[in-house]
Amino acid sequence: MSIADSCAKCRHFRNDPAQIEAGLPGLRSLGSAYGSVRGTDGLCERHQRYLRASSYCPAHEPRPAAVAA
Amino acid sequence: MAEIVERNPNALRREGTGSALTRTEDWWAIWIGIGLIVLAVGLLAAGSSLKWLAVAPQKWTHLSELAVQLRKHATQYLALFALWSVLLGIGANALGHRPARFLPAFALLFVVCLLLYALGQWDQAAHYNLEPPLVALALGLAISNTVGTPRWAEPALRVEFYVKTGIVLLGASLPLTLIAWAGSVAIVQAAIVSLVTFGTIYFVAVRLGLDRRLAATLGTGGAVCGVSGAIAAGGAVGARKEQVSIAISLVIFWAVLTIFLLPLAARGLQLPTGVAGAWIGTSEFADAAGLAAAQAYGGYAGQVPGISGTPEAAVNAFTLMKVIGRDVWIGVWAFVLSIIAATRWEATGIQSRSSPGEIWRRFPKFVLGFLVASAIITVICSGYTYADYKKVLQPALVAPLQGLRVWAFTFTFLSIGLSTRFRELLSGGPKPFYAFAAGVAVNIVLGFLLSTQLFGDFWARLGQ
Repeated sequence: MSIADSCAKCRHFRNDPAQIEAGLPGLRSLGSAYGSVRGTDGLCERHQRYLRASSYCPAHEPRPAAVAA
Repeated sequence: MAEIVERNPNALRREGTGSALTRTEDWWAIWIGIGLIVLAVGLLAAGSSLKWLAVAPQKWTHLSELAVQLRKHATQYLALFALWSVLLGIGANALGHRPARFLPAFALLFVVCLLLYALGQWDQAAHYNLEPPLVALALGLAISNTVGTPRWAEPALRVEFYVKTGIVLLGASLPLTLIAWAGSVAIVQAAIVSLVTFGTIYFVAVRLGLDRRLAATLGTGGAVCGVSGAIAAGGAVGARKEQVSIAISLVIFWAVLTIFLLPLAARGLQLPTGVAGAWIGTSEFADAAGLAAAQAYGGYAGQVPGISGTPEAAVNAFTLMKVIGRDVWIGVWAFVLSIIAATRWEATGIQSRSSPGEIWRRFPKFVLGFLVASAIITVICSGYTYADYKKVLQPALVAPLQGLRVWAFTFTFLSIGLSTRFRELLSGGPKPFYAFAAGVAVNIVLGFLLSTQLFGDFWARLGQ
């Protein structure tokens, strides 16, 4: 596995802070997804797990380039 | 390299653009806090002061007096609102919150905080237990859990952003020598309690048959830094989404409960403010929640018979214990747990790379701002005698920064209440509750014994 195959580049992975706060109710009342402590962790919609962006698995699917800024 | 994520019209446009120094609340808290300190120092050097801007309600007896006060200082309050709006608005915009949504919401927050601040200055406030942090929290909780917080007000409810900014400003009133002197005791005390609390929650959870990843997430949330600890551990061990939610929910439940219980218990025991602050710092679960409790307790000094120490001592002891003693170690906890999860626990089918770099990546950077703020003021103060410090620096430099810090914390306390909806919290059933409750019990008792017995004299001296 290379960095290109990590969760950070996977279409199932969501590490937008706003999406994380929406996905984890209560997070922002005494915490935040915008802080350093979170690092680049995010939610995997396929495995329903909260993972580091550097994680990887056989179900990896590259994120479509269409949403690139 | 820009990391692209899906567009979200309500929040971030994209993540990863720009420098890492502009992408987290931690860094923005540093820029805002240090920026205000530099501004205050610059004004002092120019023969002026920030105190005109750092306006705050004064003691009053009758409402008519308060009305006169507010009218007299209306321009200053408008200027203060403009200052916070610009600084926080820039930071919020950089984090992805649209100014058009943030600023109207912040205006409401500011007005309500002004009224709460003024209520705290009523000369009967202490008699009726109307400590502004607790009133702000209670009011927010009441609104949020009954009629509901208006959706348009939500963009301004950034608890962590405000509390980190306030903690950076707090550094300006703590000499670096004091941090070095008390920090080592805080680290020892916090290490004892953190290890025992984590061990208790983890052991009970596993004995109850809970998944080790949930046990670790609960344990870190209870032992290290609350919600931040829970998400850091959850990511490090690859916890299931609902496991992280359960840990967050339990942290919030106990944190909100102890905001009220710890000051009440400390008041009943007539603990000195420094000792109570250390206990709250050891036994509260979140920075923002603990600061509400510590600031409320500090307000008892000089108001409630039998409680010695200064108001500042409670907040100072809390911050040393919680921030220096507990928060800064979250990266180490996450790194160690990630290795244990990958090598010792049942595989999930998801691989993960662990690196010591994680310790720095997860380090709560706002702590650096707190230390830099302290260093700046310490260097400046070193050129003054104590008499000159009290006569010149305290009123012209330190006091205005303390005033701005109180504002930042007031934004925090109201935001906690307005953004906490108990019906949204996820119940994981009785077993996680029992495991976490066991940790709470051990944490509170051990924290009390260490703060009042083993290190009691030390923390009491902090308030003198």
